[in-house]
Amino acid sequence: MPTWLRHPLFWIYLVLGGLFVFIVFVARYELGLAEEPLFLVSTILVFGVVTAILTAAYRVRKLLRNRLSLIGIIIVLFFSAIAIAAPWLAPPENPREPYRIVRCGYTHMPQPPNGENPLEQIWKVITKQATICEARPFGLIQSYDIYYGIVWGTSMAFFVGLVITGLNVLIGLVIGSIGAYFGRWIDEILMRITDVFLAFPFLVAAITMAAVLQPSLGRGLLTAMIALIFFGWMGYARLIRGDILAIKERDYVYAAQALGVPHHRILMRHIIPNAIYPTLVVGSMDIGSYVLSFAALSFLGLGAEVGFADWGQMISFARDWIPRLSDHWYIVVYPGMAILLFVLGWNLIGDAFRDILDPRLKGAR
Amino acid sequence: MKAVWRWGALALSLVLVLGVTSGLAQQVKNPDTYIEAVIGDLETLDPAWHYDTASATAIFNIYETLVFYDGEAIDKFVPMLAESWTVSPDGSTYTFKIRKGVKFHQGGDLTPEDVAYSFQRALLQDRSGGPIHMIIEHVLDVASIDELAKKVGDAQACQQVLNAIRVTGPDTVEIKLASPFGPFLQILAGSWTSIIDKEWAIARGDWDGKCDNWRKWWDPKAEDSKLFDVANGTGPYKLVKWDKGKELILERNDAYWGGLAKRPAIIKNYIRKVVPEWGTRLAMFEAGDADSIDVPRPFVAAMEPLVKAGKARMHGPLPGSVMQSAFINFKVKEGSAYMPKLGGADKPDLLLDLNLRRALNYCFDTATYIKESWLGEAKPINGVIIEGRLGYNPEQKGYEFSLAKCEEELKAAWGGKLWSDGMRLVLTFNQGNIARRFAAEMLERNLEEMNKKRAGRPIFSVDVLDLPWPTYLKAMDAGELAVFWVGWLEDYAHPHNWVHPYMFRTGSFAIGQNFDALKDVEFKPVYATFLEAKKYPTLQDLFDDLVVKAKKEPDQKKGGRAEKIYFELNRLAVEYAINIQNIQLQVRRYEQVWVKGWFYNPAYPGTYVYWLSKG
Amino acid sequence: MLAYIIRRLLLLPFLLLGVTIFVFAIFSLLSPEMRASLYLTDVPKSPDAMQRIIHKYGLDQPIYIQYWQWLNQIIRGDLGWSKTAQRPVFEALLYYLPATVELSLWAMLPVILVGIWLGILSAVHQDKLIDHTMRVFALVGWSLPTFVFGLLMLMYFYAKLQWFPPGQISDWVTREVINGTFIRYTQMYTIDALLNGRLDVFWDSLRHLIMPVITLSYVQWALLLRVTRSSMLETLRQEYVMTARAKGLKESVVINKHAARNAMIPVATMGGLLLIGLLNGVVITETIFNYPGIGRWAADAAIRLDILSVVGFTLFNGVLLVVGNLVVDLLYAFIDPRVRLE
Repeated sequence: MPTWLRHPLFWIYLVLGGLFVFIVFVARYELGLAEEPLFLVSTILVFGVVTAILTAAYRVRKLLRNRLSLIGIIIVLFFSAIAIAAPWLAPPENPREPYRIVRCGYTHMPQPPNGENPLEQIWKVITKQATICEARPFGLIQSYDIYYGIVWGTSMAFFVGLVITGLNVLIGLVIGSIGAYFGRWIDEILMRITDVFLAFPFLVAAITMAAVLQPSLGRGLLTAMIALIFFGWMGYARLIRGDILAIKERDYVYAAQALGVPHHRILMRHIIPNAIYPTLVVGSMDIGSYVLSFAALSFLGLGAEVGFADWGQMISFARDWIPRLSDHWYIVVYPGMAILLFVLGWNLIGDAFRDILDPRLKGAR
Repeated sequence: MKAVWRWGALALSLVLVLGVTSGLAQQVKNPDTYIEAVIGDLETLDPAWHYDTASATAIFNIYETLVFYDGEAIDKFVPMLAESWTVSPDGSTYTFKIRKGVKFHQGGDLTPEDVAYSFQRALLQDRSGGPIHMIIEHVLDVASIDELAKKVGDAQACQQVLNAIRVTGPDTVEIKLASPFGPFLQILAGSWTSIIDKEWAIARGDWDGKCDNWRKWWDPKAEDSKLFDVANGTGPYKLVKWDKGKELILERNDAYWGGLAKRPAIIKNYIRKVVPEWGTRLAMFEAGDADSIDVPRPFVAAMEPLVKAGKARMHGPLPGSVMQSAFINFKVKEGSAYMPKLGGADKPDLLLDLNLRRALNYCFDTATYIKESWLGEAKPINGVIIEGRLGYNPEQKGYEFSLAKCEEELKAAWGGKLWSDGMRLVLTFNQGNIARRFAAEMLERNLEEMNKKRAGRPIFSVDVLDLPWPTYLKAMDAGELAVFWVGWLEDYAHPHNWVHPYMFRTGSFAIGQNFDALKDVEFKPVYATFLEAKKYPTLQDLFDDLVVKAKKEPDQKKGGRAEKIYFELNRLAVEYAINIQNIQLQVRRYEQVWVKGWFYNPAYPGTYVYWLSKG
Repeated sequence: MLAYIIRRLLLLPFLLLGVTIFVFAIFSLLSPEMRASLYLTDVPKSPDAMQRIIHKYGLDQPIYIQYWQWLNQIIRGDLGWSKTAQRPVFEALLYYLPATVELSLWAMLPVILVGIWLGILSAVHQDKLIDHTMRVFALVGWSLPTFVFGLLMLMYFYAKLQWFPPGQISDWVTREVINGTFIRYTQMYTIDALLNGRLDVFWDSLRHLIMPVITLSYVQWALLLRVTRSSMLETLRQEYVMTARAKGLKESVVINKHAARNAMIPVATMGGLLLIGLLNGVVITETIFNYPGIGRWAADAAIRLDILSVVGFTLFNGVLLVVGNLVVDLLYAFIDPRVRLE
C-alpha cells in the first residue's frame, strides 16, 4: 500500500471531489441550474473553503484542540453544507434564477411562520410534501420567503466574502510587491497612491462609490462588490510590502540577482512565495468583516438588487418593523442569526490563527 | 474576578437609576407645543422658489395668500389677504381688493404694492423646476420667462410682467391673464403665491422692483435666493429658527390680524422635526414626543394596534390627490438600454400596437394588487382624472382583469407575429418604491404565464428593473423607457393639472411616451358632441387640441362643456390604452388622541396648525 | 523630530489634491442628467426644467473644468454649497463636527477604559473561564452588525422602556438655547451644560448619548481587547516581571505597576486604527439614532450624489487622518524611548 493512500487528506480530497462532481452533474442535468453561473462559481468556492479548512485543521492540530476554533470550524462547515445543498433544501421556483427569493403574494406586511416547528416545515419542503409558499418555515417579509432567502443567501455570503477578499489581496499583492521590489520612485508613487486611498474612511468611500456606480451599473452585486474592492486593498499592499522589504535583503535574492535572473522571475519564484503567508492569513481573517461591510451597504440600500438572496438586504427589510419586533421577531432573528453565526465562525477561526501565528505569544501556551 | 463584579454592579446600578428617573412620563406632553416628526426637511422658505410639500407646510403657516380654501372644499374660496375680488365678464381679468390693517411679522403694513411685487418677483424669478411655470402659463402664455425674454428681449419681457400684474387703486391689484382660465383661483390659493413684504425683501437685497437688471435675480440657486432661510409673512405663525436638516421651529404670531376664525392660533409653538428613520418616528409617537408622524403607506399596520388601544387617532382612508400609473411608451428612443424586442429583433415601437397595450391592461390584476399592496386603500381610475375633480367620469369603463382576454389580445398583436415569435419587454420603476415593484412583478408574472398557453420554449420574456432615481429621471426624460411606473401629485385641484402631465405634448409624462408615433387618428366625439369629428395627423395632435380646448372653455361647471371635453379625454386615454390601470391612492393621518381640530383638505400640504389645539 | 513633522505636514497638500481629484474623477462617471437629479426631488413638472437645471449648475461642462472652477473657489476659501446640509460646506462641517466629536469622545472613554481593563483581565487569567468569556463576548461584538445591534437597543430601551430617547437633545433644551438662557460655547451639550452649571441639561444630553455610545463602542472593544491581551501576555513573560514576582511583590502590584504600564506601548499605536474605526462606525450609528453628526451627513450626501459635500467631507477626513497619525507617531516616540523618528 503506497503511503499516500494511507494519508487521511487523500481520502478527504477524494470524497470532496466526488461530491463536487456529483453536485455539478445533478445541478446541470436534473435541476436545470446550469444556466446560473453564479451557482457554479459559489459551489466551487465553497468546496475550496471546505478543502482549505480541512487541510488547515489537519496540518495545524491546535485548531482542533482549541475549543473556540473547533466551534468556528464546525460553524463554517455547517454553512458550507447549507450552501452546497441549497437546491434540495429550498428548491428554486425558476431554475434559471435560483437567487431570486421566492415571492408569495404582493403585500409589504410580514407574515408569520407556518406552524410551530420550523424544522417540520423544512422537512416538508425537502421531501416535496409542500411548496415553499405553503410551508413558510421562517415566515415572509415583503412577501419574500425568509427561509429561502437565508438558504440561498448562504452561498451568496461565501461568494461575496471570498471574492472580495481574494481580489483585494490580489490587488494589494500586485501593488505592494511591485513597490517593494523596485523601490525608489516607483515605491514612492505607489505608496502615495495608497495614502490617497487610505484617506477615505472605508465605509463612506464604499457608499460613495456604490452610489456613483449605481446609476450606470444598476443596483446589484457587481456595484457593491466593486465599491468594496476599490477601497479594500490598501492594508494588504502595505503588509506585503513590508514583508518583501525584509526578504529582499536575503542572500538568496542577491544571489539570484547576481546570476541575472529576470526581475519577474525573482519576484514570482523567490520573493512572493516566501512573503505571502502573513497577507493570506490576514486576508482569510477579514472574510467575515467583508460580509459585514457588504451587509452594511445592503442595509443602506446600496447592496444587492431587491429580491436577491442576500442577508443584509433581508435585515434591511426588517429595519422598518423593528418597533414591532415582538410581533414580527422572525424577520430579524433568522437573518440576524445567520449573519452573526457566519461571521462569528470565520472570526473564531481567524482568532485562533492569529494566536497561533503571533510570534510574541509562542511558548505562552 | 472581584473587579468584574464591582464594576458590573456599578454599571448595573447606574442603568437602574437612569431608568427610574426617566421612566416617569406624563400624559399630555408639551401642552402648548405641537411636534411633528417627518421624513424630510424643507428645501427653502422662499415662497416663489419652493415646490415641495415640506416647504409648503412651513410657508402655509408663515405666509398667506390672497384667497384660501373654504374648510374642506377644494373649489370654494374664502377671502384671506384679499377682502374681496371681481372677475371681468370675459374671465381674463381678476381684481383684488386688499385687506387693510394687516401687519407683517416684522412690523411692515400690507399694501397693494406688496401684493403686486410678490407676484412680479415670482414671475421674474421663475426658477428652473420651480412652481411658477403654472402662473406664467396662464399670465404670459409661454413656458418660462426666459422663453419670453428670448422672443421679445429682457426689458420687454419684464415690462409685460409689470403690465399683467399692477396696482390699480389705493387698495386694489389687478391680474390679467393671457387667456381666460376658469380655475385660476386654484393656483392663487397655493403657497407659491404667498404675499411678501416688498420693502423687507428689497432691504434684504432681493429684486429691486425695476426692469433694468432683473436677470440678476433670475433663476437663483436655492441658497442664492435672498429669502432662502428667512421669513416675514402675515400668517398665524412666525419663524423662530430653521435648523436645517434637524428641525423647523415656529412660534405663534400674537399680533395676528385674525384670519379665518378671527382669532390668533391656539398652539403656541410648532416644531417640525426631521426624523428619517421610521422606527424612530414610531418610537417618538409611542413615547408621546410627537403629536403626529409621517407614516409611510406600507407601515400603517404598525399603527393599528395603537389605534385599537385608543392611543392614536386615525383619519381615513381619505381620498388622496396622488395617482399611480404605469406609462406606456409608443416608441422607445433608438439605442435605449431598455429596448423592447419582437421575435428577438429590436423593435422600438413594439408598444405602438393597440392589441399589445390592451393585453398589458388585461393582464394586470388591479383588484388583487389594491387589496394586497395597498390594503384595499386605493381606487382604480379609468381615465386620467381622479375622483372628486371635474371631468371624472364614473361611467367610464376600463379593462377588467382577464387572462383569457389578455391571451386573445396577445394573439392578435402585430398580426399574430407576437404570438409566434415572442417578445421582450422591460418594466421599470424607481428604486426603493415597494408598491411599484409589486405592480411590475405582478404584470411580469401574468405575462410570463402566457408562455404556458403555448407549446415550446418560453418566448415572452419580461424583466422587472428598478432604476436609481438619477438614472430613472434621465431615461424617462429621454424617452428610453418602454413601460414605467410613476405617481403624480396634483398641484391644484383641477383636471387641467391631470390631462396636461398625462396627455399634453410637453407634459411631464407624455414627453416620455411619444404619442406622435401613432399617425392618422380619427376622432369621433361621444360626449362633447359640439366638437366636430375630424382626422388628426397624430394622436398627440388630438390630445393637444382637446387639452387646450378644455382649458379655454369658459363653462367650467359640472355638466358644462369643459366637463364633456374632459370626458372625451378620459375615454381616449382608455381606448388608446396609454397607461396600465391608473389608481388613485387614499391617505391616512395618525395623530395623538389629544390633538383636536384637524380636518382634511387634499389641497393643503402638511399641517395647518392654526386650527389645531391640544389637551 | 521637527524635520519629521514638517516633512509629514508638507505631504498633506499633495494628499488632499490627490483625494479631491479622485472624488471628481469618480463623479465624472455620471451623466449631467443624473447629477441634476440632486436638484429634482420629483419628476420635472415643466418641460425645460431638466436642461435648465443642468445649465444653471454647470453640470454639462467637462469634469476637469468643473474641477478647475472648484479649485479656484477653494483658493478663495469657499468650499461650495452643500445641498444635503442646506448650508455652505465649511459651515456644514463646523455644524456637524461638534456632535460627532462629542459622541466619539464619549465612545472613546468606555472603549479605552473597558477595552484595556478587559484585555488585562483576560491576559492575567489566560485560558481561564473569564478569558474565554471575554474573548467570546468580544468576538460576538466583532461579528454582530452594528445596525442590528443599534436597532435592537432602540427598540428595547426607547420604544419599550422609554429610558433613552434617540436624537441629540430634548426640545426643552432647544427652546432654552433659542431663548438664550442656555449658552452653547462649544456646541457640545455635555460640556456646555457643565460650563453653564446645568446638571439637568447634562443629564438630558447623556441620556441621548448612551445608546449610540454603546453601539459605537461595542465593536471597538474587541479590537482593543485583543491587542491589550496579547501585549499583556508578552509583557508578563518578560524577565523584570518575573523578577518582581520573585521579589514577592503582591500580584496586583506586579500587574498594575510593572506589567500594565509597559504593555500599553503597543496599545497606544492603536489610536489611529481606533479613529478610523470610529469614523466608519458613526455613519451607521448616527443614521440609526438620528444623531445629527458628520457621519450621517456624509452618507446622506454620498447617496444623493452631492459631490461638493462629499469632497468637503473627504478633505476634512484627509486632514484628520494625517494629523491624527502624526500625533500617534509622536506619542509613540514619546512613550517608547527606543523609537526614533526620522
